[in-house]
Amino acid sequence: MKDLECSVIKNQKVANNTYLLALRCDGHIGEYMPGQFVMIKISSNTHPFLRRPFGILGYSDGLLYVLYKVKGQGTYMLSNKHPGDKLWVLGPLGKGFSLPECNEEPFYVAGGTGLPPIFSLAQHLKKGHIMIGAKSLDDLALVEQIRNIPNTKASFTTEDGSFGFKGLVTDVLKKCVSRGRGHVLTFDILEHDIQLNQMTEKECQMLRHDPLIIYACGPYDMLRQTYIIAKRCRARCQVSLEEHMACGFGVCQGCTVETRSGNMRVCKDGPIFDAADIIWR
Amino acid sequence: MEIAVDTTIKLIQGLELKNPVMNASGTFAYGEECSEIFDLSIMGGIITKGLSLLPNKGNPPPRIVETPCGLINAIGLENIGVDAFLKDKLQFLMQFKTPIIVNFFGSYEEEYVECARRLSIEGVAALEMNVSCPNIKSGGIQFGTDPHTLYALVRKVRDVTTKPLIVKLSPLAGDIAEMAFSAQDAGADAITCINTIPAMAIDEETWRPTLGNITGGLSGPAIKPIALRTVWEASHKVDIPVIGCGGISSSADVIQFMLAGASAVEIGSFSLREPFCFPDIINGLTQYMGRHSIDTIQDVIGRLKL
Repeated sequence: MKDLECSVIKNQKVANNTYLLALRCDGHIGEYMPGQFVMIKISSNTHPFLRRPFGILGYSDGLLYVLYKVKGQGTYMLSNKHPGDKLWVLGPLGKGFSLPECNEEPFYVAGGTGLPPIFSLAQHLKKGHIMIGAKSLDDLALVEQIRNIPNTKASFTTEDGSFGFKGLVTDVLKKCVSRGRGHVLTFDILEHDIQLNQMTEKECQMLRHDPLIIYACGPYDMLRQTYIIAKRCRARCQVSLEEHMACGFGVCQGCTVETRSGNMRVCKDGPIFDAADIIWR
Repeated sequence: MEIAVDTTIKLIQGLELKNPVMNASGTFAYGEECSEIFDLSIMGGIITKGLSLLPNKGNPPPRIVETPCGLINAIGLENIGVDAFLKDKLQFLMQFKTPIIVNFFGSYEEEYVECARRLSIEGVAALEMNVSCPNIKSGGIQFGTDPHTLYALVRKVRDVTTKPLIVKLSPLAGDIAEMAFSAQDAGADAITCINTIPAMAIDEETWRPTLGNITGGLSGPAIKPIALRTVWEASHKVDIPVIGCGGISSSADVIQFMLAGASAVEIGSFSLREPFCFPDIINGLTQYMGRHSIDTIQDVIGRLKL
């Protein structure tokens, strides 16, 4: 873990309230695993007082990429940073995703602000099927970059139907796990195929024989739904959790989550957890 | 260039700190995470997460909310319990060449007493009693707001331990000097001013409290002026040392607290934002002493010019 001074290279609006931030770091942030995050100090004075956690979207050639949505004062202040401005980055923090075992096929599910760790993982693995959900087309960021991830199918879902499949991203997941390998629905088909099957576990077993691992990051309800689908299909499932955080490195116990082995800190023991370990609310 | 100044603080008989800078309980866990960040041996002392007799699960989330120049926490004293600490954590902390001060609390008098009894073993340099946590339903703060209750509690704990005993007070006490005096009277060796200040945050969009526990404790630079005042008042009332705590975030702040009467300080919230702040602040103190031709830092304590 390092605390690096960084210069803003780019801080560009890429979707509704959503910005792509590129930082040049004064020093090497070190090796990182997809799923890890950084804590960014937005101001050198004490307002805002705490750093903000952001999933790592990518890191290459000394440039750290972060995608964030303006949600409160801290991110609002961040959105007003210009090229040349200084920020301080603590990281990489937390544990990353565990990679697929032998022939496991990865499915990725991201909703809302959950894109960065999922994007980073899909870029790393370069295989499988990435499913992205948003409220509306205006909220979808990095569509071209997602489509350009090598050897990976991409599906988009919007709640209002303004782009891709209409509905929830977990609707698409449900549909996709019902098809065997090689029969994964393509983006084009999904756009027109809005009839959903209520699948039973039996149907699921009949249709799908390949081992599957599902990675998810997004709103709590989306994660829980993803886990339910994964469980029915006997797929492994890893989720990236969010919680209010103060330190980001495990000392304050502000971000604990209940698991089958007791309280775990999202920042230090996570943010990636096996979905089966979480005690879902 | 190495500046030859003496930063040693003889806090209590048998408890000498190599410098006045310690961490505040609850912002350092049991030291393991911070040991990966810097050498913990530089610390004046290490104060553990508050321990109860049995493990404590703490409060439901959210447990943290930011406020202007600070934060409110409602962790609820989540901890592994005294026995697990002694078994799994103390040995690790003892490798660092600095006193280990164990913070503890109870929901009732007997729990305080039993914690103190079990913690009075080799490797524990001192005990810090939390009588002022705003985040647990029973116990904690009620002991720290009434001088008679406090006296009785400290007396009972005093009877079972010969370790240096520090009592951490609440800013809620009507007269903090009176509370400090009660603690001293009952046999405390030092007091800490102050714990967090009970506080609250509300989300106007959802009409709900922001914290899972509804209320929590405010800390950070926002409370520094209040903490400074309590140190000033308490240190004038008692003969035992006062440890300053509340919003300290620089070597300048440390000096201010010492001028007000603090013999040592605890840094909490600021280290959540700046995990590397301890070496920086300790170095800053040495530089300050060099600049002001101060040979021994003990000479700063309570020397506010009026």
